[in-house]
Amino acid sequence: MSSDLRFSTLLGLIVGMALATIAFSDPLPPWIPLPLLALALWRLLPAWQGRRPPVLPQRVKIGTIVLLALALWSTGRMGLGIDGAGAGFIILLWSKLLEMHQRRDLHATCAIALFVVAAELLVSQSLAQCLFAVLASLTLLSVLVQVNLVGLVGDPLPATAPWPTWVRAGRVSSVLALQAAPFALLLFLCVPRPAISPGLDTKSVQTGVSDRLAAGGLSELVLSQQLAFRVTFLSDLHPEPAQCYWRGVILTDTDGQIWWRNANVRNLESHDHLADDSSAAIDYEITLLPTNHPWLFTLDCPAAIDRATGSQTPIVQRAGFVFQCTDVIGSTRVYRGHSRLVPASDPVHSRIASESYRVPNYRTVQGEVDPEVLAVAREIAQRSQVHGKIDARRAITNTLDYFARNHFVYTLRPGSMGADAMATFLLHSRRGFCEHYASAFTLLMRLMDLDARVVVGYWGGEWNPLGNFMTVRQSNAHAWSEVHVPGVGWVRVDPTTMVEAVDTEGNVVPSADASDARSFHAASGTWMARHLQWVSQRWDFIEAQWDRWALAYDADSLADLEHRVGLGHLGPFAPIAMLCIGGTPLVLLIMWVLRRRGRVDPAQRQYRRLCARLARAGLPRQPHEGPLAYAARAAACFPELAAVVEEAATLYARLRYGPSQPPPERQAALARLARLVRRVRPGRGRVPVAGPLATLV
Amino acid sequence: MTAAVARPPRAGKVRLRTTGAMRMLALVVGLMVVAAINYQSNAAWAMVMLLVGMVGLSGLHARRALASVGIAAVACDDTFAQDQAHVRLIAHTDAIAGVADLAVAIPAWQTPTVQIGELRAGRSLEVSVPVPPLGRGIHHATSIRLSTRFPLGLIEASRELPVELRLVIYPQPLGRAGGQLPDPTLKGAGLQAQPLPGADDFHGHRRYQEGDAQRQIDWKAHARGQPLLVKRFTSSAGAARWCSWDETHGDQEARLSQLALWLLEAHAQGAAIGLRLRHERISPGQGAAHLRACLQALAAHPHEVPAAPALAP
Repeated sequence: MSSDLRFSTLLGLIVGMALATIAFSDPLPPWIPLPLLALALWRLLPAWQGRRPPVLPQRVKIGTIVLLALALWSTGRMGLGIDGAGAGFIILLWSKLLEMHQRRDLHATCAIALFVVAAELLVSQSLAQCLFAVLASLTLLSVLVQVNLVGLVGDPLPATAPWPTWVRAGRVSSVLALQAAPFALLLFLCVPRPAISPGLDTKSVQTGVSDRLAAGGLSELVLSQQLAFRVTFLSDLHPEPAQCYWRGVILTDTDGQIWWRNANVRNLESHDHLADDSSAAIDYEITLLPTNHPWLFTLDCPAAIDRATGSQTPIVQRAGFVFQCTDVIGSTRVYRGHSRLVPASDPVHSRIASESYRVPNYRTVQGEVDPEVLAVAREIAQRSQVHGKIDARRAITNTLDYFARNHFVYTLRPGSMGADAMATFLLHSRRGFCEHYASAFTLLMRLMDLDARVVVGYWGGEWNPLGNFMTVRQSNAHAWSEVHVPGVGWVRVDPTTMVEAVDTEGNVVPSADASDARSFHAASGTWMARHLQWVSQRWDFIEAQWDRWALAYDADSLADLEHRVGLGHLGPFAPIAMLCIGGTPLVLLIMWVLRRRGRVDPAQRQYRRLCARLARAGLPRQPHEGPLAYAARAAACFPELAAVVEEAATLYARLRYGPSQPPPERQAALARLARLVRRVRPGRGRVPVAGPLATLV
Repeated sequence: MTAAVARPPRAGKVRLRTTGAMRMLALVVGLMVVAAINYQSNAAWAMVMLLVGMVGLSGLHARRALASVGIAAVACDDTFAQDQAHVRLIAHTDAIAGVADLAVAIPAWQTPTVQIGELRAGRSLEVSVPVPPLGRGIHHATSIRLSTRFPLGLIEASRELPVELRLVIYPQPLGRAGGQLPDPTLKGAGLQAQPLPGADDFHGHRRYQEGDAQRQIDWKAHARGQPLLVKRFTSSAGAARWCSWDETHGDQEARLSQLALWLLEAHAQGAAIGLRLRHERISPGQGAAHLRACLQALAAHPHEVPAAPALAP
């Protein structure tokens, strides 16, 4: 008998480890599969040949771990956070292959691999990632099942086994997972998450638009297809994607090149609200993926906002109709907004009225501006004067004219801009994308002594007809401008809509789609693109439900559930009550399922019943006695039951050991056996008849 | 034979306990919980809950698996003190789903746990449990412990089945040879170790002599090429030998070992053997059963009680 672990067990374990490592492969360098594959082969080959692998001295094992750790650390990608910890665990995991001989080594490896799988779920929670994690976990657990099914060491099993062992082990673990799923769901819904956060590694990566805009700041974002948020409109009317400007954060200060948000504006409470207007009111619900920024996105222009579930995390309003949470958004959030849709078709007349307009100052430029740019501003200001004072509306129109007349082009690849990006953009290259246009326009407004600010957010989105929601991705990131027109209020101006768009190949694209890089390609309409879109829409729909209901579940949702179930008044005991109420039927169901698996052949059950009855009367069956012999003895002891017992025993013997009968006959025989056994009711405590019995001793 | 027993004793309840592997996994799951809370990851939290659910359910599965296993037959072979003693038993299950990863042990004798492996529905498996050296005597055990760690190896279900076990361990045969005494009823010289001709037990060959019964010729040996040989038999009334306590020396165990050696020796020579102990006397007899009875008498001999320490004046 081979004294080494079975080859199939090792192979299953290595496959599980590989799945776990693939899930976590982002921070790892690309050459990492080579040493891991070497370790795997070193351990698998002896098992394949049926001999033990060589026992390595302790120094070699520790040396390998140190070497791998140094190699990973030298790539420079390992920090102290989850990336570093995960990489460390992966090194430990594969190094354990050097010492894999006993059951406890196997268990340790599976535990570490499960941790690596969970570590990836800390970083990315998309549905695809979760399904992959389930697959990896099931593989690892079926390795454990396999060890318990056929033992740890031994020869390969004969090929005559009905199913290969790994199929049986996989089935057992899948059934176990399916049976555990309702319990897991109940625990997930009812167990309250502790409010105390250890606060480790809090400097997580920030995604999405930021409150600092430098030239080229949005260029990376615009090329990413990563999801930003999804919007469900609560009324039947839903606006066209091109009409949806998603307001994120306003940028108030500039030095001529870079825009940022003033600290006062960031921290001061604001009470701006919309004036009464005839434009349409829209209600919507947004599922926002974690950004690690504090601000929420709203449809322009937002009137009010609140949480979809509960109201425990406060939302505050800042200047410029910016809504943000008191803390950064570290997990998926769901919230509802109420906005008035400001049409984008007429930039001059579209307005966002506000009641309270206060300082901060939206006019200053805190740095040196190129004199040529100043000249342009002065020239436009000259033409916009009415009665000696500059007219804001005219200034807006004239500036937009400037862009249109001078053959400005929208492109995602404007090339390098040099030190003074604004001057290069306005005067020389005249190629740029939304952030250049927005910042240039706002700069010119400020140079003309008008109040203007830059707004950063998203524009448009992809409508999913299957789920009636709009998907907004990072590629929809956009920047536009707002100008304060005295007597009217803040007016949104999007200079990007005024220019022609040029895609990466140099073709002109309709300007309404200019903000979405993906539409450059989807406009081609090939068969492949259309079918990909069909699949991706369906997948997006499923993922939307996952994000909305599973990932956004938090303490507020739990409180909401408690109230809905009617247990809210129990306070902190409500989760326990919910667990008991929900768990009891599940436990009973599982017990019933298990009892069915333990059920005995019906003929056997009747025979056992017969034996139990006779044993109660004082005549237990000896282990070596067959049914007929036992019946003969019982007939001798209880003469009045002789016929019944003997017939029952004969019937049982035929059912159990005789040739197999067709089901109807078998059913009839079983029924008769049951009737006979029911009639066996020997008197209790009867002393059996002496005499013939003595010779049987 | 217990004809009047009221009710067969019930099997013990199935008990669950966690294994070392479970403690390791619990540590890892604890780390996962901390990480999930820190990074506010609902997906990791869900995975933790799924693992917890699966482990809990595996305990129920193990419990169910064990509840259907029974012991069909048990045999304890008599052995000598320095040989390996075994307990052979047959385990069977009637449950349709079968049982995997079954293990058997006898807790009273601290035997190692023997893995049976997989037991399919309606089948039986014989397994032999080695018993650690227990010393001479008659040892009793009242239960057999069955356990399983199926399916995940994290929770072990165990159960004690009440089974009467009786293991007889004979003293190891040690000492000098040839100290048996002849039967005093056969007085006279020259009859010490001489088997008398009889008709019962085969005792070897001798050359054919004229006048021997032709029926006693061993034709098979002749067909193999040997000369004509006649089978010899002895009768049970022949040369009884006595193994006597008084002829032995040393402490009690040495004396018993000496007697065992003499018994075996005499039996190998085909004589009738009798045993004379201090408080017991077994008449001479022949055959394997008689030998066993004598050895059991030796095994059952009460152990020495250590002398009470002298009281200080």
